[in-house]
Amino acid sequence: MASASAADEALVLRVMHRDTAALEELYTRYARPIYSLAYRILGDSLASEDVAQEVFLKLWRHPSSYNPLRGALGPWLLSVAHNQAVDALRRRHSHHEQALPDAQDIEVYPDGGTDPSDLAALSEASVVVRRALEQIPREQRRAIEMAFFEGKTHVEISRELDEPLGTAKTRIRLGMRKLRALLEKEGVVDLSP
Amino acid sequence: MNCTEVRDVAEVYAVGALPAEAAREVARHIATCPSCRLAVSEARQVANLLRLGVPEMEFPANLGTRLAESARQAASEAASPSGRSHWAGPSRGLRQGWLAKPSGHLGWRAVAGLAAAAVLIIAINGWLALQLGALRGEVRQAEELLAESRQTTQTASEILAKTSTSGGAVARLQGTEAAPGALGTLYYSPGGYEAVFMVQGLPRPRPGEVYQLWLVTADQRTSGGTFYPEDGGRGFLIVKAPVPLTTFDAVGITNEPQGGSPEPRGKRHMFGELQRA
Repeated sequence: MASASAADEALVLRVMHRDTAALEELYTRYARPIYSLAYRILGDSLASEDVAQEVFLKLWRHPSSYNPLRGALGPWLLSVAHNQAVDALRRRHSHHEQALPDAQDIEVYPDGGTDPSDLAALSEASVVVRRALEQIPREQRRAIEMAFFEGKTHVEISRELDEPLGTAKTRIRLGMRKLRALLEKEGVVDLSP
Repeated sequence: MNCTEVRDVAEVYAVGALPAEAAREVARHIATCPSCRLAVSEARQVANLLRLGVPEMEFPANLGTRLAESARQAASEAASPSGRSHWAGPSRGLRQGWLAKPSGHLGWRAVAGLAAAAVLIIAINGWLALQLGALRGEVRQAEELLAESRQTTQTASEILAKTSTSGGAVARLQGTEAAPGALGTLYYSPGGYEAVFMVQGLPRPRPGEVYQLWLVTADQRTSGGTFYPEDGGRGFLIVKAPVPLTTFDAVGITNEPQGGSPEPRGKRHMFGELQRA
Protein backbone atom coordinates (compact mmCIF):
# COMPACT_ATOMS: atom_id res chain seq x y z
CA MET A 1 0.00 0.00 0.00
CA ALA A 2 1.45 3.30 -1.03
CA SER A 3 1.80 6.02 1.57
CA ALA A 4 -0.39 9.10 1.20
CA SER A 5 2.58 11.35 0.53
CA ALA A 6 3.70 9.08 -2.29
CA ALA A 7 0.13 9.18 -3.57
CA ASP A 8 0.29 12.99 -3.45
CA GLU A 9 3.47 12.94 -5.48
CA ALA A 10 1.89 10.61 -8.00
CA LEU A 11 -1.10 12.94 -8.25
CA VAL A 12 1.20 15.90 -8.88
CA LEU A 13 2.90 13.89 -11.62
CA ARG A 14 -0.52 13.34 -13.16
CA VAL A 15 -1.27 17.07 -12.88
CA MET A 16 1.96 17.67 -14.80
CA HIS A 17 0.44 15.31 -17.32
CA ARG A 18 -2.60 17.65 -17.53
CA ASP A 19 -4.97 15.24 -15.81
CA THR A 20 -7.79 17.26 -14.23
CA ALA A 21 -9.01 14.21 -12.30
CA ALA A 22 -5.75 14.30 -10.36
CA LEU A 23 -6.25 17.99 -9.59
CA GLU A 24 -9.76 17.18 -8.43
CA GLU A 25 -8.40 14.52 -6.07
CA LEU A 26 -5.84 16.93 -4.62
CA TYR A 27 -8.57 19.50 -4.23
CA THR A 28 -10.70 16.99 -2.33
CA ARG A 29 -7.78 16.31 -0.01
CA TYR A 30 -6.54 19.81 0.70
CA ALA A 31 -9.12 22.46 -0.18
CA ARG A 32 -10.64 22.58 3.29
CA PRO A 33 -7.48 23.32 5.31
CA ILE A 34 -6.42 25.80 2.64
CA TYR A 35 -9.76 27.60 2.72
CA SER A 36 -9.70 27.59 6.53
CA LEU A 37 -6.23 29.15 6.62
CA ALA A 38 -7.22 31.82 4.11
CA TYR A 39 -10.36 32.56 6.10
CA ARG A 40 -8.32 32.87 9.30
CA ILE A 41 -6.18 35.52 7.61
CA LEU A 42 -8.82 37.36 5.59
CA GLY A 43 -12.02 36.78 7.58
CA ASP A 44 -13.98 36.88 4.34
CA SER A 45 -15.44 33.82 2.67
CA LEU A 46 -15.41 35.19 -0.88
CA ALA A 47 -11.78 36.33 -0.69
CA SER A 48 -10.85 33.02 0.94
CA GLU A 49 -12.50 31.11 -1.89
CA ASP A 50 -10.44 33.16 -4.32
CA VAL A 51 -7.27 32.24 -2.45
CA ALA A 52 -8.15 28.53 -2.43
CA GLN A 53 -8.91 28.65 -6.13
CA GLU A 54 -5.66 30.47 -6.89
CA VAL A 55 -3.63 27.89 -4.99
CA PHE A 56 -4.98 25.01 -7.06
CA LEU A 57 -4.78 26.93 -10.31
CA LYS A 58 -1.16 27.74 -9.52
CA LEU A 59 -0.55 24.02 -9.06
CA TRP A 60 -2.37 23.32 -12.31
CA ARG A 61 -0.48 25.93 -14.31
CA HIS A 62 2.95 25.42 -12.73
CA PRO A 63 3.02 21.93 -11.18
CA SER A 64 6.81 21.87 -11.33
CA SER A 65 6.92 24.75 -8.85
CA TYR A 66 6.30 22.03 -6.24
CA ASN A 67 9.47 20.07 -5.58
CA PRO A 68 8.77 16.86 -3.63
CA LEU A 69 12.40 16.65 -2.61
CA ARG A 70 11.98 19.80 -0.52
CA GLY A 71 8.92 18.81 1.46
CA ALA A 72 5.46 17.27 1.52
CA LEU A 73 2.67 18.69 -0.59
CA GLY A 74 0.23 19.69 2.17
CA PRO A 75 2.53 22.15 3.99
CA TRP A 76 3.64 23.52 0.62
CA LEU A 77 0.06 24.20 -0.45
CA LEU A 78 -0.60 25.89 2.90
CA SER A 79 2.50 28.06 2.41
CA VAL A 80 1.28 29.11 -1.02
CA ALA A 81 -2.16 29.86 0.44
CA HIS A 82 -0.57 31.93 3.21
CA ASN A 83 1.36 33.96 0.63
CA GLN A 84 -1.76 34.54 -1.44
CA ALA A 85 -3.80 35.56 1.59
CA VAL A 86 -1.08 37.90 2.88
CA ASP A 87 -0.90 39.50 -0.55
CA ALA A 88 -4.67 39.98 -0.54
CA LEU A 89 -4.48 41.47 2.94
CA ARG A 90 -1.76 43.84 1.81
CA ARG A 91 -3.86 44.97 -1.14
CA ARG A 92 -6.79 45.53 1.17
CA HIS A 93 -4.73 47.60 3.62
CA SER A 94 -2.42 49.32 1.22
CA HIS A 95 -2.23 52.30 3.57
CA HIS A 96 -0.98 49.96 6.28
CA GLU A 97 2.43 50.87 7.73
CA GLN A 98 3.14 47.21 8.44
CA ALA A 99 6.01 45.68 6.63
CA LEU A 100 4.31 42.60 5.34
CA PRO A 101 7.08 40.65 3.70
CA ASP A 102 7.04 40.50 -0.06
CA ALA A 103 5.48 37.29 -1.27
CA GLN A 104 8.81 36.16 -2.65
CA ASP A 105 10.43 36.75 0.73
CA ILE A 106 8.13 34.33 2.48
CA GLU A 107 9.55 30.88 2.57
CA VAL A 108 7.27 28.83 0.39
CA TYR A 109 9.02 25.68 1.40
CA PRO A 110 9.04 24.77 5.02
CA ASP A 111 12.54 24.86 6.43
CA GLY A 112 12.47 21.10 6.77
CA GLY A 113 11.87 19.07 9.89
CA THR A 114 8.30 20.25 10.44
CA ASP A 115 6.83 18.54 7.49
CA PRO A 116 3.81 16.31 8.14
CA SER A 117 4.09 14.12 5.11
CA ASP A 118 0.51 13.22 4.38
CA LEU A 119 -3.05 14.22 5.04
CA ALA A 120 -3.41 12.03 8.13
CA ALA A 121 -0.14 13.36 9.57
CA LEU A 122 -1.26 16.88 8.74
CA SER A 123 -4.52 16.31 10.54
CA GLU A 124 -2.78 14.82 13.59
CA ALA A 125 -0.28 17.68 13.66
CA SER A 126 -3.17 20.17 13.53
CA VAL A 127 -4.64 18.72 16.71
CA VAL A 128 -1.28 18.86 18.48
CA VAL A 129 -0.58 22.43 17.37
CA ARG A 130 -4.02 23.61 18.49
CA ARG A 131 -3.54 21.91 21.86
CA ALA A 132 -0.08 23.48 22.23
CA LEU A 133 -1.40 26.92 21.34
CA GLU A 134 -4.01 26.58 24.07
CA GLN A 135 -1.26 25.93 26.59
CA ILE A 136 0.65 29.14 26.05
CA PRO A 137 -0.51 32.27 27.92
CA ARG A 138 -3.41 33.98 26.23
CA GLU A 139 -1.66 37.32 25.71
CA GLN A 140 1.35 35.58 24.11
CA ARG A 141 -0.92 33.57 21.82
CA ARG A 142 -2.81 36.71 20.87
CA ALA A 143 0.41 38.56 19.94
CA ILE A 144 1.62 35.63 17.80
CA GLU A 145 -1.71 35.37 16.02
CA MET A 146 -1.92 39.11 15.37
CA ALA A 147 1.50 38.95 13.75
CA PHE A 148 1.20 35.72 11.79
CA PHE A 149 -2.41 35.85 10.68
CA GLU A 150 -3.19 39.56 10.73
CA GLY A 151 0.14 40.77 9.37
CA LYS A 152 0.87 43.25 12.15
CA THR A 153 4.30 44.36 13.40
CA HIS A 154 5.20 44.18 17.06
CA VAL A 155 4.98 47.99 17.08
CA GLU A 156 1.39 47.92 15.81
CA ILE A 157 0.44 45.12 18.15
CA SER A 158 1.78 47.08 21.14
CA ARG A 159 -0.14 50.13 20.00
CA GLU A 160 -3.36 48.22 19.37
CA LEU A 161 -3.21 46.51 22.74
CA ASP A 162 -2.20 49.79 24.40
CA GLU A 163 0.94 48.33 25.86
CA PRO A 164 4.52 49.62 26.12
CA LEU A 165 6.56 49.37 22.93
CA GLY A 166 8.47 46.15 22.90
CA THR A 167 5.97 44.21 24.97
CA ALA A 168 4.54 42.48 21.92
CA LYS A 169 8.03 41.53 20.81
CA THR A 170 8.71 39.92 24.16
CA ARG A 171 5.38 38.12 24.11
CA ILE A 172 5.96 36.76 20.65
CA ARG A 173 9.45 35.55 21.56
CA LEU A 174 8.35 33.89 24.81
CA GLY A 175 5.24 32.39 23.22
CA MET A 176 7.10 30.98 20.25
CA ARG A 177 9.77 29.46 22.48
CA LYS A 178 7.16 27.87 24.68
CA LEU A 179 5.32 26.61 21.61
CA ARG A 180 8.53 25.10 20.30
CA ALA A 181 9.16 23.31 23.58
CA LEU A 182 5.62 21.92 23.63
CA LEU A 183 5.80 20.76 20.01
CA GLU A 184 9.19 19.16 20.56
CA LYS A 185 7.77 17.32 23.55
CA GLU A 186 4.88 16.07 21.39
CA GLY A 187 7.31 14.99 18.68
CA VAL A 188 5.76 17.21 16.03
CA VAL A 189 8.98 19.12 15.61
CA ASP A 190 12.50 17.91 16.18
CA LEU A 191 15.00 20.73 16.40
CA SER A 192 17.47 19.08 18.71
CA PRO A 193 21.06 19.59 17.58
CA MET B 1 22.46 43.90 13.48
CA ASN B 2 24.89 41.66 15.30
CA CYS B 3 24.32 38.03 16.26
CA THR B 4 22.86 38.82 19.68
CA GLU B 5 20.33 41.22 18.19
CA VAL B 6 19.33 38.77 15.48
CA ARG B 7 18.85 35.94 17.99
CA ASP B 8 16.74 38.30 20.04
CA VAL B 9 14.29 38.89 17.19
CA ALA B 10 14.47 35.49 15.42
CA GLU B 11 10.94 34.50 16.47
CA VAL B 12 9.53 37.95 15.74
CA TYR B 13 11.08 37.80 12.28
CA ALA B 14 9.76 34.27 11.73
CA VAL B 15 6.15 35.30 12.29
CA GLY B 16 6.57 38.37 10.07
CA ALA B 17 6.25 40.93 12.87
CA LEU B 18 9.41 42.92 12.24
CA PRO B 19 9.07 46.26 10.48
CA ALA B 20 10.48 46.27 6.96
CA GLU B 21 13.87 47.81 7.63
CA ALA B 22 14.60 45.55 10.61
CA ALA B 23 13.49 42.51 8.58
CA ARG B 24 15.91 43.46 5.82
CA GLU B 25 18.72 43.76 8.36
CA VAL B 26 17.98 40.26 9.64
CA ALA B 27 17.88 38.93 6.08
CA ARG B 28 21.25 40.54 5.32
CA HIS B 29 22.79 39.15 8.50
CA ILE B 30 21.61 35.55 8.07
CA ALA B 31 22.81 35.56 4.47
CA THR B 32 26.36 35.52 5.81
CA CYS B 33 26.00 34.02 9.30
CA PRO B 34 25.28 30.26 9.33
CA SER B 35 24.58 29.97 13.06
CA CYS B 36 22.02 32.80 13.03
CA ARG B 37 20.55 31.37 9.83
CA LEU B 38 20.00 28.12 11.70
CA ALA B 39 18.36 29.93 14.61
CA VAL B 40 15.99 31.77 12.24
CA SER B 41 15.30 28.58 10.30
CA GLU B 42 14.30 26.79 13.50
CA ALA B 43 12.00 29.64 14.48
CA ARG B 44 10.45 29.47 11.01
CA GLN B 45 9.84 25.77 11.35
CA VAL B 46 7.77 26.45 14.43
CA ALA B 47 6.04 29.38 12.70
CA ASN B 48 5.16 27.18 9.71
CA LEU B 49 3.28 24.88 12.05
CA LEU B 50 1.02 27.74 13.11
CA ARG B 51 -0.79 27.26 9.79
CA LEU B 52 -1.87 23.83 10.98
CA GLY B 53 -3.38 25.27 14.14
CA VAL B 54 -6.21 26.96 12.30
CA PRO B 55 -9.58 25.34 13.08
CA GLU B 56 -11.20 23.91 9.98
CA MET B 57 -14.09 25.92 8.59
CA GLU B 58 -17.30 24.84 6.96
CA PHE B 59 -16.55 24.64 3.31
CA PRO B 60 -18.53 26.45 0.58
CA ALA B 61 -20.08 23.79 -1.58
CA ASN B 62 -19.80 25.77 -4.81
CA LEU B 63 -16.04 26.19 -4.58
CA GLY B 64 -15.34 22.88 -6.29
CA THR B 65 -17.58 23.87 -9.16
CA ARG B 66 -15.78 27.20 -9.57
CA LEU B 67 -12.41 25.52 -9.54
CA ALA B 68 -13.54 22.85 -11.96
CA GLU B 69 -14.68 25.54 -14.36
CA SER B 70 -11.41 27.45 -14.00
CA ALA B 71 -9.36 24.31 -14.53
CA ARG B 72 -11.39 23.48 -17.62
CA GLN B 73 -10.75 26.96 -18.97
CA ALA B 74 -7.05 26.72 -18.14
CA ALA B 75 -6.93 23.31 -19.80
CA SER B 76 -8.65 24.55 -22.94
CA GLU B 77 -6.37 27.61 -23.02
CA ALA B 78 -3.45 25.21 -22.95
CA ALA B 79 -5.22 23.22 -25.70
CA SER B 80 -3.91 19.96 -24.32
CA PRO B 81 -4.37 17.19 -26.87
CA SER B 82 -4.10 14.43 -24.28
CA GLY B 83 -7.85 13.76 -24.01
CA ARG B 84 -7.33 12.75 -20.39
CA SER B 85 -9.62 15.32 -18.88
CA HIS B 86 -12.18 13.49 -16.75
CA TRP B 87 -13.28 16.36 -14.50
CA ALA B 88 -17.02 16.32 -14.99
CA GLY B 89 -19.60 15.68 -17.65
CA PRO B 90 -19.07 14.36 -21.12
CA SER B 91 -16.02 15.34 -23.09
CA ARG B 92 -16.22 17.88 -25.91
CA GLY B 93 -15.97 15.00 -28.35
CA LEU B 94 -19.00 13.31 -26.85
CA ARG B 95 -21.00 16.54 -26.87
CA GLN B 96 -20.17 17.24 -30.48
CA GLY B 97 -20.83 13.71 -31.63
CA TRP B 98 -24.04 13.13 -29.71
CA LEU B 99 -25.66 16.51 -29.26
CA ALA B 100 -24.63 18.59 -32.22
CA LYS B 101 -25.19 16.39 -35.24
CA PRO B 102 -28.87 15.31 -35.23
CA SER B 103 -30.62 18.69 -35.56
CA GLY B 104 -29.12 19.58 -38.93
CA HIS B 105 -30.02 16.25 -40.53
CA LEU B 106 -33.59 16.28 -39.23
CA GLY B 107 -34.33 19.79 -40.52
CA TRP B 108 -33.44 18.93 -44.06
CA ARG B 109 -35.24 15.58 -44.12
CA ALA B 110 -38.48 16.89 -42.63
CA VAL B 111 -39.60 18.47 -45.92
CA ALA B 112 -39.71 15.14 -47.73
CA GLY B 113 -42.95 13.20 -48.35
CA LEU B 114 -44.30 10.26 -46.33
CA ALA B 115 -42.32 7.68 -48.22
CA ALA B 116 -39.25 9.73 -47.80
CA ALA B 117 -40.18 10.16 -44.13
CA ALA B 118 -40.33 6.40 -43.68
CA VAL B 119 -36.95 6.06 -45.31
CA LEU B 120 -35.78 8.88 -43.16
CA ILE B 121 -36.97 7.20 -39.97
CA ILE B 122 -35.10 4.07 -40.92
CA ALA B 123 -32.08 6.16 -41.80
CA ILE B 124 -32.28 8.05 -38.55
CA ASN B 125 -32.70 4.85 -36.59
CA GLY B 126 -29.68 3.45 -38.34
CA TRP B 127 -27.79 6.66 -37.76
CA LEU B 128 -28.82 6.70 -34.09
CA ALA B 129 -27.69 3.11 -33.73
CA LEU B 130 -24.37 4.05 -35.24
CA GLN B 131 -24.13 7.06 -32.97
CA LEU B 132 -25.05 4.92 -29.98
CA GLY B 133 -22.37 2.44 -30.96
CA ALA B 134 -19.87 5.25 -31.38
CA LEU B 135 -20.94 6.75 -28.07
CA ARG B 136 -20.52 3.41 -26.32
CA GLY B 137 -17.12 3.12 -27.93
CA GLU B 138 -16.16 6.58 -26.69
CA VAL B 139 -17.43 5.82 -23.19
CA ARG B 140 -15.51 2.52 -23.18
CA GLN B 141 -12.41 4.35 -24.38
CA ALA B 142 -12.85 7.02 -21.70
CA GLU B 143 -13.30 4.32 -19.06
CA GLU B 144 -10.17 2.57 -20.27
CA LEU B 145 -8.23 5.82 -20.16
CA LEU B 146 -9.54 6.49 -16.68
CA ALA B 147 -8.63 2.99 -15.50
CA GLU B 148 -5.24 3.29 -17.13
CA SER B 149 -4.74 6.67 -15.51
CA ARG B 150 -5.71 5.33 -12.10
CA GLN B 151 -3.52 2.28 -12.60
CA THR B 152 -0.63 4.56 -13.57
CA THR B 153 -1.16 6.62 -10.44
CA GLN B 154 -1.31 3.50 -8.29
CA THR B 155 1.84 2.10 -9.85
CA ALA B 156 3.71 5.41 -9.62
CA SER B 157 2.46 5.78 -6.08
CA GLU B 158 3.76 2.33 -5.11
CA ILE B 159 7.13 2.98 -6.73
CA LEU B 160 7.47 6.34 -4.98
CA ALA B 161 6.43 4.74 -1.68
CA LYS B 162 9.10 2.06 -2.09
CA THR B 163 11.54 4.76 -3.06
CA SER B 164 10.80 6.78 0.05
CA THR B 165 10.93 3.81 2.44
CA SER B 166 14.03 2.06 1.15
CA GLY B 167 16.59 4.82 0.92
CA GLY B 168 15.34 6.05 -2.41
CA ALA B 169 17.57 7.63 -4.98
CA VAL B 170 17.09 10.30 -7.57
CA ALA B 171 18.92 10.69 -10.87
CA ARG B 172 18.88 14.04 -12.61
CA LEU B 173 18.92 14.09 -16.39
CA GLN B 174 20.11 17.11 -18.32
CA GLY B 175 19.28 17.95 -21.90
CA THR B 176 22.02 17.64 -24.49
CA GLU B 177 22.56 20.02 -27.42
CA ALA B 178 19.53 18.43 -29.06
CA ALA B 179 17.31 19.47 -26.11
CA PRO B 180 19.11 22.22 -24.20
CA GLY B 181 16.07 23.19 -22.09
CA ALA B 182 15.15 19.67 -20.98
CA LEU B 183 15.31 18.62 -17.34
CA GLY B 184 14.32 15.21 -16.05
CA THR B 185 14.21 13.24 -12.81
CA LEU B 186 14.22 9.50 -12.28
CA TYR B 187 12.93 8.32 -8.90
CA TYR B 188 14.00 4.82 -7.96
CA SER B 189 15.00 2.64 -5.04
CA PRO B 190 18.46 1.12 -5.19
CA GLY B 191 17.37 -2.53 -5.20
CA GLY B 192 14.24 -1.95 -7.25
CA TYR B 193 13.33 -2.83 -10.81
CA GLU B 194 10.91 0.01 -11.38
CA ALA B 195 11.28 3.77 -11.47
CA VAL B 196 9.22 6.87 -12.17
CA PHE B 197 10.65 9.26 -14.73
CA MET B 198 9.37 12.74 -15.38
CA VAL B 199 10.68 15.38 -17.67
CA GLN B 200 9.91 18.84 -18.95
CA GLY B 201 11.27 21.05 -21.70
CA LEU B 202 11.72 18.37 -24.35
CA PRO B 203 11.08 19.51 -27.92
CA ARG B 204 8.13 17.93 -29.70
CA PRO B 205 9.38 14.84 -31.57
CA ARG B 206 9.20 14.75 -35.35
CA PRO B 207 6.05 13.13 -36.83
CA GLY B 208 6.14 9.39 -36.38
CA GLU B 209 8.68 9.57 -33.59
CA VAL B 210 8.65 9.16 -29.81
CA TYR B 211 11.26 9.42 -27.11
CA GLN B 212 12.78 6.27 -25.70
CA LEU B 213 14.49 5.89 -22.34
CA TRP B 214 17.63 3.75 -22.18
CA LEU B 215 19.28 2.18 -19.18
CA VAL B 216 22.97 2.26 -19.90
CA THR B 217 25.94 0.09 -18.94
CA ALA B 218 29.41 0.17 -20.47
CA ASP B 219 28.49 -2.35 -23.15
CA GLN B 220 24.70 -2.50 -23.21
CA ARG B 221 21.61 -0.33 -23.71
CA THR B 222 18.30 -1.62 -22.30
CA SER B 223 15.01 0.02 -23.17
CA GLY B 224 13.04 1.46 -20.27
CA GLY B 225 10.03 2.40 -22.40
CA THR B 226 8.82 5.11 -24.74
CA PHE B 227 6.83 8.28 -24.18
CA TYR B 228 5.48 11.24 -26.08
CA PRO B 229 5.83 14.68 -24.48
CA GLU B 230 2.88 17.00 -24.27
CA ASP B 231 2.62 20.75 -23.76
CA GLY B 232 5.77 22.26 -22.36
CA GLY B 233 7.69 19.15 -23.35
CA ARG B 234 6.31 17.35 -20.30
CA GLY B 235 6.63 13.60 -20.26
CA PHE B 236 5.99 10.86 -17.75
CA LEU B 237 7.05 7.24 -17.83
CA ILE B 238 7.03 4.26 -15.53
CA VAL B 239 10.32 2.52 -16.20
CA LYS B 240 10.55 -1.24 -15.81
CA ALA B 241 13.97 -2.83 -15.86
CA PRO B 242 14.78 -6.56 -16.20
CA VAL B 243 17.45 -6.30 -13.49
CA PRO B 244 17.87 -3.97 -10.47
CA LEU B 245 18.31 -0.38 -11.55
CA THR B 246 21.57 -0.06 -9.69
CA THR B 247 23.03 -2.51 -12.21
CA PHE B 248 23.07 0.39 -14.66
CA ASP B 249 25.47 3.29 -14.87
CA ALA B 250 23.31 5.91 -16.49
CA VAL B 251 20.05 6.84 -18.20
CA GLY B 252 19.69 8.35 -21.64
CA ILE B 253 16.84 9.57 -23.83
CA THR B 254 16.88 9.33 -27.64
CA ASN B 255 14.33 10.02 -30.36
CA GLU B 256 13.17 6.82 -32.04
CA PRO B 257 10.44 5.69 -34.45
CA GLN B 258 7.00 5.15 -32.94
CA GLY B 259 6.93 1.86 -31.04
CA GLY B 260 10.56 2.23 -30.04
CA SER B 261 13.78 0.62 -31.23
CA PRO B 262 15.61 -2.49 -30.01
CA GLU B 263 18.72 -0.35 -29.54
CA PRO B 264 19.31 3.41 -29.64
CA ARG B 265 19.56 4.77 -33.18
CA GLY B 266 18.34 8.32 -32.73
CA LYS B 267 20.08 11.33 -31.33
CA ARG B 268 20.77 11.50 -27.60
CA HIS B 269 18.52 14.21 -26.10
CA MET B 270 19.13 13.70 -22.39
CA PHE B 271 21.59 11.99 -20.12
CA GLY B 272 22.15 11.44 -16.38
CA GLU B 273 24.12 9.13 -14.16
CA LEU B 274 22.65 6.59 -11.74
CA GLN B 275 24.03 5.79 -8.33
CA ARG B 276 25.56 2.33 -8.51
CA ALA B 277 25.03 -0.22 -5.77
